[in-house]
Formats: sequence, structure tokens, C-alpha cells
Amino acid sequence: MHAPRSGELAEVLLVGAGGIGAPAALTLVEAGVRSFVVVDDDTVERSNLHRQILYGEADVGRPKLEAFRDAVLRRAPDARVELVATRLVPETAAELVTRARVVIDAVDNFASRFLAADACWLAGRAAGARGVPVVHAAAVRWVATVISSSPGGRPCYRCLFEDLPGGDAPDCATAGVVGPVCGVAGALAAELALRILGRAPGEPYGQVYSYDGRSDRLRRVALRARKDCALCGDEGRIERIDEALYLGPSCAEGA
Amino acid sequence: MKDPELVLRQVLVAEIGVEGQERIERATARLPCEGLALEVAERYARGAGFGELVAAPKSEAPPLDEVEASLGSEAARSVLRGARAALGEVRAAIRAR
Repeated sequence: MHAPRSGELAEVLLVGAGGIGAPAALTLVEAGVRSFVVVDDDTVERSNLHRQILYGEADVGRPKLEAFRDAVLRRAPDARVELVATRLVPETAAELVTRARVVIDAVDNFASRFLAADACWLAGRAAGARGVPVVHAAAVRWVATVISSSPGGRPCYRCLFEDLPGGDAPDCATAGVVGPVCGVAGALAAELALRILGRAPGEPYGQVYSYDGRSDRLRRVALRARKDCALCGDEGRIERIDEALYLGPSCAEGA
Repeated sequence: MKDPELVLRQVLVAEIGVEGQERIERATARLPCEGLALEVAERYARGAGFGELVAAPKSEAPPLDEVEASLGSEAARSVLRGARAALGEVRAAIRAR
């Protein structure tokens, strides 16, 4: 059986099976995680192979989800992998994020990243609902950035980045990325997810990890909650998933 | 460049470009790792387009920095170490004259 059993929470929902999702999954599998839900709608292209380390030449042209599942099962035949062939979109995000104990946002665009942040936080707002912790990981050029947010936020992704960037944000089609920078982001994202799952020691929340591959400098900086955060602040304004919140540059932190 | 499609995103990075990519392709990547870290380093180094890969003694690896040492997962440390090893070789190759 290759999918989590019906009604059973997966350990990890991985949004994006690309440059960051691949090393994150490799790390998680090696650490013993065996239950995944994976969301992606791309196919494997040759230009992916320099950074998407789960895939090889034989996977080019295949749906990324299938290549992902096969790669995970080669390493861990007892793993259960549910495949969801879509992008994270406002219509389904709220339901999708509740399928696992932790979400890893490994997407390649700001709109989906903010949507993941909002959906995970809002999942805990309904009476009796269980919030969903989320780890956000991004890589562009030489730089990786990883932060996590507890189900209650404080801090959350919007405490740091407030809102979608304007038109001058790096474009994933033009900025490029050095492949191993994605590996740094994926390893750090998996580390935080493992902490959240109780599979690794250490505090999972409240810090930003940043890595600059030009200097090989890896830093960890405390992240403070903002009282006026639109999501988790004292008077948070975001109360539901509204499609209008996720319009903007669709392509930014390419991985 | 031997395989422009494979390294498309890497060549877009300003500090690499076509000239840097050609240096990478002429270089040998020395990877001071073992186990999972070596597997990861080799995968990224191959993806970067190095002409040759060599497993180097682990003693050549830089010491763990504070953040890396604080990671609680051995798997995360290994994947991180492998990625950083490959990146170190990319840096060295594009700076070489």
C-alpha cells in the first residue's frame, strides 16, 4: 500500500516535489519518516536535474509525483506516499493542509507560499480545530531561507514577510539558483519538520535560518512576532482564504 | 558548455555564467564526505557539471559550524554537509584562473 490509510494523518505534507522538496524528502526518509502526502503538478525536465536530486535522466518527461514516489520507495519500500496532482490553490488549500501533522512549503512562488502560511494558521481557528505547523523553505541564486511557524503563529511567515512582494522580486525564470543551495534549504526544512514531529531534539519555532552560499555562512536569527501581523497579530485581518490575497508575481523564489 | 539544458538555472546566476560554467566543467570536485553526505555531494556535483568527481579524505572537510552542529537530525546534518561540500567546489572552480 502506497498511500496513508484512509482517515489517518500523514506525518508530512510536502507542497512541491522539486529542488527543495527532493532533498527535504531524502532527509526525512533517512530519518525514518514513512508517511507523506505530496502536492505537485509538474513533470520532470532536464533543466530540473542539476538540483532535484531524487530524479535522474530516466525520469525526464514523467510526472514529478510518480518519479518522487518511486524514488522514495526505492529507499524505503515500507513508506506510504499519497500523490495529489495539483498546485496549492485557494479552493483546496484549507482541506489539504489538514491531511498531515506538519506541512513543508517547498514551492517556487510567493503566492503559494503565502497561501500555505494562511491556510495552516486558519486551520486552527475553527472551534475545536487542530492547527497545522508549517515549515517554509526557499532558495534563489546563492541564498536559502527557512522558517517555521507553530499552529498559533506568533511568529508566522507574515510576521517576517508581511505580504507578496512587488514587481522587483527576483524572478525564478531569470535569477537562477545554484543547485546545492536547494539542498541546504531542504535539509534545514526537514530538520525543523523532524523537530516538530518529535523525531529530532531542538526548538522548532521562532528562528530564521539563512544561508549564503557565496560565503558559506549559515546563520540562525531569532524571529519576533509582530503585534500588527495581518495573520497572527492582535487584530489579524486575515480570517479566511480569499483568492484576492494571492494575486501578484507568480514566480519569485525559484527552486 | 557540454549540456546547456542541464545547467540552465545555474548559468543564470550572475557569478557563474557561461565562463564560470566552463571552469566548473574543466574542474575536478574533491568531496570530503562519506555515506549519505557523499551521495548528496556527488549528486549535486554531477548536476553542476564537474568534469570529474573524487572522494577526498573526511579530514579535509571544514569543521562543523555552530548552527550545523546544533542540528538534531543526523540525516539533516549529512544532507547539509553534502550540499555544502558541493557548493564549496563550485565556489573554488569559478574563482580558479
